[in-house]
Amino acid sequence: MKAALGAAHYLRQDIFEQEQARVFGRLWIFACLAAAIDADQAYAARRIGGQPVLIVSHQGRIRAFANRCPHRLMPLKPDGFGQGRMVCPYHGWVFSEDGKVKSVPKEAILYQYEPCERDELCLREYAVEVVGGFVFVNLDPSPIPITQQFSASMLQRLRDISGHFGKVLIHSDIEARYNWKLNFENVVDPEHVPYVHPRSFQPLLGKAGEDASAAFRSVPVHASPSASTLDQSRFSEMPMRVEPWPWHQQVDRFGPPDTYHNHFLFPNVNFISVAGLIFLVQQFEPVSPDRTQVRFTLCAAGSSGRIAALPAILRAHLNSEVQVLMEDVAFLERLQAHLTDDAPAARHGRYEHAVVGFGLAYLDWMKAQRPA
Amino acid sequence: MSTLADQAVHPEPASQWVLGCGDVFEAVADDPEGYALAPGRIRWHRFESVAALAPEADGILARIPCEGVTLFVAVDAHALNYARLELYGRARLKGMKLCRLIHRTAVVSPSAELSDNVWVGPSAVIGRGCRIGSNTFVGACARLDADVEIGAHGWVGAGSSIGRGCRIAQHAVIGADARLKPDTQLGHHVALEQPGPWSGVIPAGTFVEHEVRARASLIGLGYTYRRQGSP
Repeated sequence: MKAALGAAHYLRQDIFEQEQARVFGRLWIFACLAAAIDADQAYAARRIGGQPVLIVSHQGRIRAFANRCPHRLMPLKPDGFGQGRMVCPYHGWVFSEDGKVKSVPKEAILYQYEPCERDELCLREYAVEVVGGFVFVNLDPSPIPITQQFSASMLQRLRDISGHFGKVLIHSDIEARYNWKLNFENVVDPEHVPYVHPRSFQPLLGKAGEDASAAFRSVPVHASPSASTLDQSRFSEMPMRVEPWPWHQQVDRFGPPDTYHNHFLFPNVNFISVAGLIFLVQQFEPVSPDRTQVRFTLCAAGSSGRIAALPAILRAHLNSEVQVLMEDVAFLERLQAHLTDDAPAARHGRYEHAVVGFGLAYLDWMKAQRPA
Repeated sequence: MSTLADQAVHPEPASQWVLGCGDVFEAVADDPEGYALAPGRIRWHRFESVAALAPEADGILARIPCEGVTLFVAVDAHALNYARLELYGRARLKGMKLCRLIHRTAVVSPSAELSDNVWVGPSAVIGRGCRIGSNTFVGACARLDADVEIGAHGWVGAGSSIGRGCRIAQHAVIGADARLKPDTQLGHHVALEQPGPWSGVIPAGTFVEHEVRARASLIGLGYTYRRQGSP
């Protein structure tokens, strides 16, 4: 099969900007896990589709705003996670929980806005959907229903699995020198694992990895990759060898032991779980045509009691996952560095219908008119 | 300037045990006289691996009398020093007396305060007014300038330097050859494996690994927010 996308989709600035507006500006984009902001005035400040976004929690309600003061465009919060009132650090403007300007220091003396202009001063608000422990944001003023992007079974799956998330997360943003789509195409392709991760990931899958490939091999020759948005998000399970540790007995595991759970959330999230004990969200955030910020958020399953060494457990698991990622990064950076405008389109085999389908759905969203 | 090595084992205990595994255990076993440990009075137990600590700790500790014995737990910085804490904590719960081991070539200010199960390696320098919490290890040739405070269950790597007035909370791991500028503050559960230099406030739950491009941070209660506010 000829690839849906060409070299230009991984190189050109104009395509990147179109993608920011039409793909990331119109789809539901993963913003953070709810556990990251599970307290009054807790916030996450992230770039989503190139826009600075502030996701805040007030008395249990999660809202998202442009992270820009309407006065002089200063970000209210630096990128990251924290807790605090919505106050602009530049001139002290205070915002209420609905994004309206609550007070401006010395307003009457210094600013003297006309009433109609004063009424317009507020933080721009974005739509939020909370699916279990997952927080999604949509930058579109008239967003599609989330059920147009994720199937009912996928949404229910996210609610079910995230009910087992613990309260403490570990997060890392890793800068990588390639186009974000290369990473998503990489994670939906199981055949790279024995070659790219022969000593890190492949040994844990063992025969189960071969069986997963067999499932792909059974795809009929005549079957066409699906361009449907709903079909790009799916989940699967496979056996995985997991060494038992004492803390496993202390937590509320999701599902059966020795199982690897894999989820793809269109357009740019891969969410996995190791034995329902460890959960990792990896998100590929576009920075430029040849730069991606890979966002890792990992947590353990929740427990009613305290796990003493939890910080060390989370650190060790994140380091293992980052080690696997860096093996992919080495390959993908090399691939990106050798791409040229005149490079031919890729030629995909039958098993790569997920890669082709992703490209087709992406192209649908790149059109001026939103897909039906 | 006198060292504290002589005072560490004074008055003379009836016997002394050293338990553990890894580099610090082997360094002490290799040079007991360097730590003023009288060879005839010492008993050693080397665990086969860090993984063996938890399952075997109670059995080993049951063989050691509580009275008339001092104990030292020598385990490296695994799992933010929780591996060492596994053994140290159980010994403390049993009411056992834990000593300090300070190499005779270390230079420790008389005004420094060192808690129990503290290890100070060869040629380390501990400046005046420093306070080192329980179960914290300071590696060979590390330098702590004046008025440094390090909490319990910490690790200061060989050759690292901690500037004057630094404040380091519990469960810190400062890698070999790392440098902290004066008045640097580390929250709890911070690992700095890269040399730096480091300065300012490093929030609790910050991890900087040897080869990784980006730091990792813990998020949630006690790290990025202080209280659960959701109804």
